[in-house]
Amino acid sequence: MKVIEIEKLEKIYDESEVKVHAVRGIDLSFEQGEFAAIVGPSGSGKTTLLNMLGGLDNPTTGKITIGGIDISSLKSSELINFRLSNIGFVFQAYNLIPVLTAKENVEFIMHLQGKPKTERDARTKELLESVGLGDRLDSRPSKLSGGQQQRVAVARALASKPKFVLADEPTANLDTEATENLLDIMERLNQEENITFIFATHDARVMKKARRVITIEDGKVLSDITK
Amino acid sequence: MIWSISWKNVWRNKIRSLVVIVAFTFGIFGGVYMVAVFVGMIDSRVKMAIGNEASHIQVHHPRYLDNNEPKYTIDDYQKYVDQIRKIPEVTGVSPRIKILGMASTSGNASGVMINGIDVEKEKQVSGIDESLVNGGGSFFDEDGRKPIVIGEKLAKTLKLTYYKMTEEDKEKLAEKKNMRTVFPLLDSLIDKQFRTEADLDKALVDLLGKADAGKFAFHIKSAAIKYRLKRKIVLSFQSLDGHISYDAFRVVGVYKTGNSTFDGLNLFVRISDIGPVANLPAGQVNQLAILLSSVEHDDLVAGQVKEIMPGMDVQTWDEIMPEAGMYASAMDFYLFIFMVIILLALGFGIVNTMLMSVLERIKELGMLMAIGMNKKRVFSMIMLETVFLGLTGAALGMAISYGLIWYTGKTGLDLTSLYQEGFEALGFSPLIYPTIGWGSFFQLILLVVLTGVLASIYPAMKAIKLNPSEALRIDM
Repeated sequence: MKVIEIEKLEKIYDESEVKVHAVRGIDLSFEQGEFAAIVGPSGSGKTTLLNMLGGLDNPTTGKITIGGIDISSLKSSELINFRLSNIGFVFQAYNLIPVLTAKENVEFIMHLQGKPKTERDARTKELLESVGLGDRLDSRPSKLSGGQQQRVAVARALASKPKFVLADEPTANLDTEATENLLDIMERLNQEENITFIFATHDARVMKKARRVITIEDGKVLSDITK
Repeated sequence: MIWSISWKNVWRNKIRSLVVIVAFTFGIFGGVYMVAVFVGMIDSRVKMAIGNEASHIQVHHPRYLDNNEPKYTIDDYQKYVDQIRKIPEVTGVSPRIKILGMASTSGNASGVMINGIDVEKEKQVSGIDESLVNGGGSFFDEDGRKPIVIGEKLAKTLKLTYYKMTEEDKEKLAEKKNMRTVFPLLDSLIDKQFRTEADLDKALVDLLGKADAGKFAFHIKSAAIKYRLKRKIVLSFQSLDGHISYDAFRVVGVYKTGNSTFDGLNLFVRISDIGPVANLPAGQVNQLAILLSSVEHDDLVAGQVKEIMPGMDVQTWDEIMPEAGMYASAMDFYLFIFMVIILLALGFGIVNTMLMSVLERIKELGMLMAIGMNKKRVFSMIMLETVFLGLTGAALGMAISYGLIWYTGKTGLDLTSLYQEGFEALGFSPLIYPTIGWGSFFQLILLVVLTGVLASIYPAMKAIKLNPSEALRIDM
C-alpha cells in the first residue's frame, strides 16, 4: 500500500536575488513499512525534499499525497494538525524540550493529540522501554547522552502513531556505538510494527542499514535502489 | 501540561527571571505599601473627624448652616434626643449650642467656635474628654463657676501656656534613646520658666547648638509645656437680640485632637452657662450630633432621623466633611493609577525578558510547531510564562506588603518627631496605621495578569510567526 506519492515536485527559493532551484521535478512513492534513505551531498536538496514531505515547506509546483490527502492544498493550521497525527519527526540535534523529563517529552505529543492519561502513560512506558530507556523515564535531556536523547526523540516520533517517520540526519551527532544502537532500534520498530522510516542522510552506516537508497543530486533523483 | 511547561520555562534562566521577579516584587511592594499608608492616614483622619468633630450624623435647622447664625435652632431638643436614642444603632446624641465669637485673655484674642454642651451627653458622642493633654486639667470634672475647655493650639494663641522642665519631665525624655548625647546638658533647664515657645527655642539653640536644637526641640518642648489652668477667658459674641454679650470663663481643661485647626477654633462650655448669655431659651440648641455603633449604618439612621425630625437638615459625616469622604473614595482610584504607572514600567521589562527568551528558543519553538503544536498553544505557552513571571513577583510583593502592613498596622508608623506639625495642621495624625482592603489586592492581581497578557503579545506574536522549517535550520 502506498503511503506517500510525490509527483513532479519542484521547489524554487526566490527570496534573495539569486533563485535557487532546490528540487527539480521529483517523482517518488513510498510503500507502508519501508526503511528508506535519501542520500546525497550537502546542498543536493534532500532536506528540502524531506521538509516538503513533512509539510514544513510548500512545493513551488507538484503534488504530495499522503494517505490519499494532497498536503500542498492544506492551510497552515490544517497542516499542523496533519503533522501531529500523521508524521513523526526525528531531528539531527535531538531537539527535545529541555525542561521536561524523557517521559514528559514523549507524552507531550499525545497530550497535544488530546489522548487520555492512562493511554499516554501506557504508550510512553512501552515506547521508552522499547528504545532501552525504561529506567530513565524521569531524566531530563541534560542528564542523558546524545544517543539516549536521540532514542527519546525516536520514541517521541512514534508516540502519535504516525503513518511514517521522517529523520533528518539523525546520526550526525552520534558515535559509532550509539549510531548502531539507534539504527538497530529503528530497524526493529520498522519490522515489528511495520512503521515507515525515511531518512535524509549522508552517513554510510545509515545507507548500509536502509533497504532502499534514493540518491539525489542537484535536486534530481540520480538513482533509486531497493536492496 | 502547557501550564507545567510554561512554569518550568520561567525557571530556565533563573537569574534573568529573578531580576524581573525582584523588580516586580519591589514595584508592587512600593505601590501597595504607599497606598496602605495613605489609606491608613485617611482612615484615621475619618475616624478622628467622626470621633472629635463631625460625629456620624448632624442635625441643624435648615438655615443654620447658611451663616452659622445661632437664632436658627432646634426647639424642644430633649424630645428628639429621647426618640433618636431609641434607634438601636445610635450610641449617643449630643445637643450643642454653636456660636461664633471671640475669646480674649490678657495676652491675646482669637476668633472661636463656642460649643455649648451637655457634658455627659457630649462624652457619649465625642472623644474630646479623652483627648486632654498631660497636665491639662479635666473635662468639666470640677464644679467650678463657668468652666471652659479649650484646645492646646488656642491655649498657645491666647498665651495660656508656658515652658518649664521639671525633673520628672526630664526623666521621661530619658526613655528616648537618641537623646542620650544631649541628655546631661538638659540639667541646666530644670525648673527654668520660659514664657513663650520662641524663648525656649532660643535657649535650646544656645545650649545644644543649632543642629541638635533643631533635632530635639520637638521632644523637649512636648515634655516641658505647661498650661495656665484656672485663668480667665472672656467670650464675646452677638446674642440673639443683636447685642454683643460678654462673659468670663475659667480654664479647667486643655485638649489636643491631632487636628490643630480644630483645636485652635473649638472651645467647650456648658449649655447651662452659655444659653442664658446668648439669650437662647431653655430647650433650644443649634445642633444635634449623633454617634452610631458603626459607620455603615449612617445612611439608614439618617433616614430614620429625618422621619423623627421632619423639616430639619440631617447630614451624614461625608456630607458634613466632603473632603474626608472624597479622600476615602478616591484612594481606590489612586491605587489604580499608581499601579498602572508601576506596571507599565515593569511591563516593558517583561517584554524585553520574554523577547530574549523567545529569541534564544527559536529552534525549540520551530521543533514544537513542526511536531504539531499549533499557534494557539504556542501563544498560550508564551503568554502563561509571562503571566507566571509577573504573578510570582506580584505574589512576593503582595506577601511582603501584607506582612509589613499587618505589622505596622499594629504598631503604627510613628512620624511624630518628623512631621507632627505639618500633619496636624492638615488634620492628620502623625501616627499612621497602614491598612488596605482585600478588594485592592484582588484589583492588583487582575492588573498584574492584564500586564502579563499585554506584555506577552509582542514576544508571543514573534514566536508564532516563525516558520518551523527555517527555525529548525538556525544554528543557536
